[in-house]
Amino acid sequence: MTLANIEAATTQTSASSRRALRSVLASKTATIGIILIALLLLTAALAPVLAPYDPIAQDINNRLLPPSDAHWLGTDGFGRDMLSRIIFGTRPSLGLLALVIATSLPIGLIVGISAGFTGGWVERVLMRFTDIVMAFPQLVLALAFVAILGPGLVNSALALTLTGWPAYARQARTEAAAIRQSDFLAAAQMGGIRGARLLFGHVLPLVLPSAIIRVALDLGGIILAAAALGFLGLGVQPPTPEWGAMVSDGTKVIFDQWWVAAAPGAAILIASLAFNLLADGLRDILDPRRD
Amino acid sequence: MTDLVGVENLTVGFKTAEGGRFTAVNGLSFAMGAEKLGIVGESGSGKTMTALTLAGLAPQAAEITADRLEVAGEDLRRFKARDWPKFRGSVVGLIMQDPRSALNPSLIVGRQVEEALRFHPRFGRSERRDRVLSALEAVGLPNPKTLAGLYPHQLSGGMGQRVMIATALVNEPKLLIADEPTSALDEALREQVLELLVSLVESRGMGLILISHDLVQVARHCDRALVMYRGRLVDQGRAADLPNSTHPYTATLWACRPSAATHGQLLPTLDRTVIEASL
Amino acid sequence: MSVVDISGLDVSFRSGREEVHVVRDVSLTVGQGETFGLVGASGSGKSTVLRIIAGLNLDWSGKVSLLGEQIAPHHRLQGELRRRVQMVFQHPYGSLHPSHSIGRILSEPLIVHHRPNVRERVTEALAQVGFGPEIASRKPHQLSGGQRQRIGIARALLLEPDLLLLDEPTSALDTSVQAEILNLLTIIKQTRPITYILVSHDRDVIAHMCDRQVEMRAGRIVSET
Repeated sequence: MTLANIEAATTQTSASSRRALRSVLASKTATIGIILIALLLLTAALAPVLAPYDPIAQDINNRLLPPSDAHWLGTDGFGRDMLSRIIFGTRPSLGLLALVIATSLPIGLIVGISAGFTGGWVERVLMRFTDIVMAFPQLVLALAFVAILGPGLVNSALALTLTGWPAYARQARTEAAAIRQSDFLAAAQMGGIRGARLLFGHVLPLVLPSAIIRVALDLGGIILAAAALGFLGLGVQPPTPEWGAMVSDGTKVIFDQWWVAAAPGAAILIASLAFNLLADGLRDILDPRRD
Repeated sequence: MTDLVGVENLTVGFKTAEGGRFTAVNGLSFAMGAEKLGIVGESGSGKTMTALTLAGLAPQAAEITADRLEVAGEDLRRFKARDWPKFRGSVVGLIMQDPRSALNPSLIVGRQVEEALRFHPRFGRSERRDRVLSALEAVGLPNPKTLAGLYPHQLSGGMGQRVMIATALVNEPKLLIADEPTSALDEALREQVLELLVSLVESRGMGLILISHDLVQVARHCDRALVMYRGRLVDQGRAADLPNSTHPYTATLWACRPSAATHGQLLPTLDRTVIEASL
Repeated sequence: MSVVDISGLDVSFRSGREEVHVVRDVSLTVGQGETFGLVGASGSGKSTVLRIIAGLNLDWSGKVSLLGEQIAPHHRLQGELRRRVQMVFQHPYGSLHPSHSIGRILSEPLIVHHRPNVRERVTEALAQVGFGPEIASRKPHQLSGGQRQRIGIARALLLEPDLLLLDEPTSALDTSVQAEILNLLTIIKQTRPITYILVSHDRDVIAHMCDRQVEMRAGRIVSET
């Protein structure tokens, strides 16, 4: 391939990705979702700059202060600034989200593609196992895992991964099975292409797009599940600020100092909403029945 | 004499995703009476889009302009969406390529043929039934009574296409448009179905537009032929003269068909630069 | 020496309680350098026979030998035999991976077989089917049906097969484009020693291309000319 060809090829792909971006931005819900997610990421990255106070510095003299000019969202039971804690709270939430996706999607894809493409007894064994995992209520199973593994960010991510991958595996299996009989895979096999090269080079690229949509639809739910684990004291351990744990702390004083629970609750709501908006927008764009 | 179909300077265009424009039919003009007109050309030549436009079935996105667009004295350019169904039911009959996808799989054959009669409320129930049965009989289907109670998947391809023809003819339209009516059928059935179609059209004094990529078929069954290339009309004349056309496009299309006689030889191919230059 | 030698080939599968016979007791031989035709209507079993020879359908019984090597049912074609038998598929769009570039589609089999000078070979193969090297960066959806089929032929030829299987290679194309593809196949045959097996429902295409042909109906060979 000459250099000119490579250049032509790259301009083509960048043109098509620009087109995709334009159609995403044409959807109002997706745009709002993207803006909110960008703000969340920015907040997480710049937390030390944005936070007015140290999120774990206790100040017993200024406990449970209502929102004011000095503390925009008030202070909690240890006199820590709520706004600073919420700003730093984006980190464990987004970190956990990234960890869960980075592990459960590959597991689901590998299991699903192997099952769907191979067929036969491999498919039966893999999919029965997937069904068994899927039969348990996700959060209950995650709780059981954390109870065994012990609380913490990595362990709760692991628990959500162990319960989250079957959905991706099922979808990938269906799609891989649909292209198993295709002529282009037959042609690849006749050309001597097989094994991992066939699965990852030829099958994966066609299964990946819908898996990504599926992941986008799950993101909001993972945020909520992470907060639930935190609320139950199984997530990131104190004093690190985590939204779910903050809501839990706030429930003790919810009738007198409501902001202590409401502020992190609102943060969870906004984060989960942002990902749901993006996913809905994406689904609208990619749904062929649209017009 | 008024023409059955009169088309002048018909252009059908589409906006492409890249922001350009694609012209499917480009300045097409022709007129026909109650005769058998064949339209031939390669895929992408605009022949199917011409047929769809005359039946009001061009895609929504199509931009259609014409100086004249008339069928049986009706000006199609003035038609609103609600005018088309009645027009298709009574003036124009349509036969599409694949009977299996054109028939509703959840309706029995008798109901589908009867559907076409819904714009004739003056027929009573028994008269509608008689008409359906005689239409099925006319297309050479055995046992129309039993057949009317079958579902499309219980029919063979040839029978399905006969049902399509019956549906198109039950209203006795003035013009029948058949778009590749035999390409989904096995070779042995093709001639049979086409002969039936032609004899029905002739006996009822209707006009026929036969869209086909098969020049031999058109030469054998039609009176006149239009030859299209990339949306333009490039050649026309008596269908029987197709083998003798001197236009390079028509001549090559005719000669490039393989057969036992060409065994071991190279087939003539289209020189597209010559054709493009002659446009 | 015969390139393909089949005797007593049977294919059947279970559909519910019924045993469906797709191919019954088919025997045929194809000689070195022949163009052999398999003609028949849809459902006659001709494509099934071809896919068995291609090593794509492994569920059969009988005796099959390819290029002098006996093959067994339920075993993939391996090594040199896999390379020496190649195929051109019916649907030009469905046989090219939709998200791979033409360059990747053509070069990957060569890379897998550890061939040297991949780039030169791809350019040469593209030239043989009438393309310049710049087409390598395109994706299949940017090509017409006839162009895609020429890429399919180039891919099959790159591995220098001794037996090329042609499964209705022109039935999805216009007659004018069909003529170009058939001519290309004729010219290729003149430039190298290769055996063709052509499957088609179109008697004219078979008559134009083939030295010898058999007709199949309902899974059996009914006539041989």
